[in-house]
Amino acid sequence: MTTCTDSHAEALLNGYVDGALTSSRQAALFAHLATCEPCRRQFNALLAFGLAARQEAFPVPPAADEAVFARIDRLRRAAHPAPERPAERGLFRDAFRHRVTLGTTLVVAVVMAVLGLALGPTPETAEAEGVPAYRITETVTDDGNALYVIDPGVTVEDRKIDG
Amino acid sequence: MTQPDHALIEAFQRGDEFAFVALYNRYKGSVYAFCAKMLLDRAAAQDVMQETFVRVYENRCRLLNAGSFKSYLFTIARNQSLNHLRRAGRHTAFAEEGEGALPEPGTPFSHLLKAEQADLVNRFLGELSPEYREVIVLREYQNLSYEEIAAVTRNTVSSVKSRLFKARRKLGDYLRPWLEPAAPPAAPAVAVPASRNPAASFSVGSVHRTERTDP
Repeated sequence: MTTCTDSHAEALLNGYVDGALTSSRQAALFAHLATCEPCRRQFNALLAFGLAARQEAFPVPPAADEAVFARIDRLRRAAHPAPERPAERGLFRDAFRHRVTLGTTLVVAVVMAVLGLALGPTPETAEAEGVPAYRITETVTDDGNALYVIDPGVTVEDRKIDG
Repeated sequence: MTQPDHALIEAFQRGDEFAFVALYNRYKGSVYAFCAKMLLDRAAAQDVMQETFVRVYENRCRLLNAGSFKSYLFTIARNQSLNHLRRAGRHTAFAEEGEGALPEPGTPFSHLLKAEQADLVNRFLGELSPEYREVIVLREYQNLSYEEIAAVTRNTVSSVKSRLFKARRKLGDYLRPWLEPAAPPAAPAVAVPASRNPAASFSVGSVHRTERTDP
């Protein structure tokens, strides 16, 4: 005989495998198994399958964890975009965002050079050429006070304090 | 101390991201194992697991009404797995697992290497349609009760039992070549005692079976 037609036996067998059989019903099952070869084979198959299922390991690869959290991070960023930085909200917000071409840069450089030549030497350059930028003259007035004249434009009198 | 699911879910809904990480770490193995057995492809199982937890993250406000978090999680994983199978257009074939030669019929299942046993099991699962495969995977690998399986698969308990019993009948038929003892030698010169013949005597689980060879 290849199959057992006793549906009650099948229910008992499945109940046993699922841990849902009382001890009295277990006795009935084992009495049936002692005489029914197909049910014994089915019983062995279920136990073997259950054992193989419990022994198989399913370690989650670390890459899977990373992928999950990377995706959730993207979701979170999309839901809460970062606030604008203060510099970006300023007067020149748009100006700083524009791209400057090479031609524009060259034109600005040429204009700056022409302006520099037209405006002449600066005080620093004049000093470098040996021309003093200012001159201090110290004199004493008739009443004994010191008088400093800084050329150009400033005169300082150092008044003597009596007593 | 281990926090119960509902406490973690409430914390997660209040914005505690660590609670979500705790839930993820608690269930990622089960979800991955379920997907791996449903799809019989571990790379695809990673993708489906990812999708499952992303859905949970996105739908955090619905979690309170979901009853058992475990059932809710497996419902999403199951739907995603079925979608994946539908897209892939294969319900029974499997990609990377179950390739290669079958173990020698006649070798008792308990004598096979673990890898061979797993391979045989995968081949069997590959021959089942998804509706049978899901109940047997949820029951045997995830240890879900009939009621939980019914909740996950949106079915009645009696329907779940019916499908599970049918799937198990198919399992018995499939594994028969590895549960039957090897045929005895045609004309042994000397009778070999059953206890010394590994193919004739084996035990699986609590049942010990001995085949006798008459001289």
